[in-house]
Amino acid sequence: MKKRVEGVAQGIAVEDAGNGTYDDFSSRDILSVVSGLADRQAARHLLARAVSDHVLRERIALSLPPEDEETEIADAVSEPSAVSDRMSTRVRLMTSRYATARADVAAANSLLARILTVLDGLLTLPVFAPAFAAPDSFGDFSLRTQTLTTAEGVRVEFHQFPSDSGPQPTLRVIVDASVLGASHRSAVVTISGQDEPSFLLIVVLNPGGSGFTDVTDLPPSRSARWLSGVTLSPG
Amino acid sequence: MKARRRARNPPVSPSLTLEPPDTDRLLALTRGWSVAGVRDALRSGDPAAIERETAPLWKGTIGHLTRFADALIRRGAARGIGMAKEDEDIAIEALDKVFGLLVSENGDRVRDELHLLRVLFRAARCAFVDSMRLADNRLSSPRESVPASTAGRDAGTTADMVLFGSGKSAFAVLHLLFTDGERFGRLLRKSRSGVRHSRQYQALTLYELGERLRDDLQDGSAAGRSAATRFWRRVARSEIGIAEVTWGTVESAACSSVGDSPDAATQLYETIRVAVLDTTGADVQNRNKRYVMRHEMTRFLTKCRFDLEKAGSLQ
Repeated sequence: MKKRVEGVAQGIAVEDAGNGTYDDFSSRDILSVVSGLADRQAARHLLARAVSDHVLRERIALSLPPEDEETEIADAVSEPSAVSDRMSTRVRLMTSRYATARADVAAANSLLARILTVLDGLLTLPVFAPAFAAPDSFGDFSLRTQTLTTAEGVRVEFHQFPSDSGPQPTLRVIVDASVLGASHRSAVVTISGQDEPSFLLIVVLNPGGSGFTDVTDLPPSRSARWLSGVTLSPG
Repeated sequence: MKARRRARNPPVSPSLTLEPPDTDRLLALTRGWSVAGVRDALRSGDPAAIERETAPLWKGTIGHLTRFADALIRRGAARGIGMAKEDEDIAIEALDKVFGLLVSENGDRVRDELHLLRVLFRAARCAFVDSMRLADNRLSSPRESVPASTAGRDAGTTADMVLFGSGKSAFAVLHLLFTDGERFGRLLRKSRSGVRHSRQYQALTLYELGERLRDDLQDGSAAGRSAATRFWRRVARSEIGIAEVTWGTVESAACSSVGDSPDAATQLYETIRVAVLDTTGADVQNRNKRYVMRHEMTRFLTKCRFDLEKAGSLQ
C-alpha cells in the first residue's frame, strides 16, 4: 500500500493512496528503472503497466539505453567544453530550487518525520479495535495495550481500560523519552482518523523524560484510528 | 538513519549494463566532487553546501550533456521527430532529474561517481524522450491487418491488453512459470484453474509476448522498432526469466511476421506460433485454445494472487 507523507500546518499527515495502485508514473520513475536504481517491485510495477499502455511503453522503450550508448557518451565527452555565463545562470537557478526547499527538507529530516517513517507500517492501532466495534466513543472493552518505539528509542504506549470512577473508559498514553535525556518538557501525540481532523494528546514529561496522560473525553471512535506523529517540545 | 534506510531497501532491479568498456574520458569528469558530497548537500538544502558540492559536477558535465542532447535531437530530427525543447533545456533537465533522484531514497543506490555520470546521460535521454512530440499512431486498432470478418471479434487480443492480470502479479506468475514450472503446475492444479502441463502455458505466454512485439514493430518507426525490441527483451528476459535462446527465437519470429496477417484458419500469426512450438514443444493451435488458456491463466491469477506473488518474488 502506498503511503505518502506530507508536511501539513501542524505536523505530519499520512495520505493513503488507496488500493495500492500507482495511478501515475513520473519521468523520474522511468529514469529510476532504466538506470537500475528502482527496486525490483517498483520496476515490475512500471513495466507491467507499460505492457498494457502503449504510450507509457513507448516512453520507456525510447528511454532504455541503445546498444551504442557507450559510443554516444564517448562522442559527447570527446572534446572539452566550456560553460557559458548564461548556462551557469540557468543551472544555478535550477539548483536554487533545492536550496529554497530547505524548510521542507528540514521538515522531512525532523524527528517527527523520521518517527513517522519508522511507524509507517504500524500506523493502524489495534489498541483502538474494541472502540471501533463500540457503537460510539470508547464503549465496552477490555484492557488493550500497544507499544510503539521510534527510531530514537522514544516509547509510546497506549493503555485502554475502564475507568475506576465511572462508566467512561479511559485511554492512557505513556511516553518514555528518557533515552533523549532531559531536554524535552512535553510530548504531543497526534492521532488521526480517516477524513476526520487530528486531535492531540499532550503528555507532560518529568525531568527524566517520561510521563503519561489519561484521556476520557475522546471523540467518536472513528476519529481515532492512526497515530500520525509524536513531537517533543524542547525544555 | 541513512544506514537504516539503505538496509531496508529491497534489492535493486536487474540493472542495465552500467560498466563502461572505456572509462578514461568519464573518469576525468569525476574530479572535484563526490556522490556523497552532492547527495548530502542537496538533502541538506543548505545553499552554500549545494553550490560548493554541485558546482564542480555541473560545470564539468553540462557542456557534454548539451552535446549529448544535441546529438539526440539531430538524430530525432532526421527521423522527423519534433522537439519541444532545445539541447540546453534537456541538459539542465537531466541535471534536475538526477538531483531529484539523489534527494530521494533511490539516491542511496548510486554507487559511485562514474555511476552518477552514466545516470546523468540516461537522464538526458529521458528528458529528450519527454520533449519528443510522439505521434499516437495507435489510435487506430493495432489489428488493422486482421480480416474484416474477424476484426470485430478480436478485441481481446489487442497489444494493449493486460497480460493475464494486472500489475506486477502478472510478472510474478510468469516468472514462476518459466523458472519453476513444476511448482507453477502444482499451484495451478490446487487452484483448479487448469490441468494442462506448464509447457502449454509457457507456449501461450511466448505467443502473447511475441504478438505484442510484432504489433509494436508493425506500428513503429525504425527507431521505435529498435526501442520496442529492447523493451520486450527487458520484459521477457529480466522480468519473466525467459531463456535468452528461447526469446531470441520468438523475437526473430515476431520480426519476420511484420506485415503478415493472422492465418485464416487459426487466427494466429503462424510464424510466431511455429517458433513457439519449436521452442516449447507445445502448440497454441488456434485462437479458441488461446482464449481458453488465457481465461485459465486469468482465473488462476485471480484465485492465487497472493500465493503467486509470494512465490514469484522468491525466485
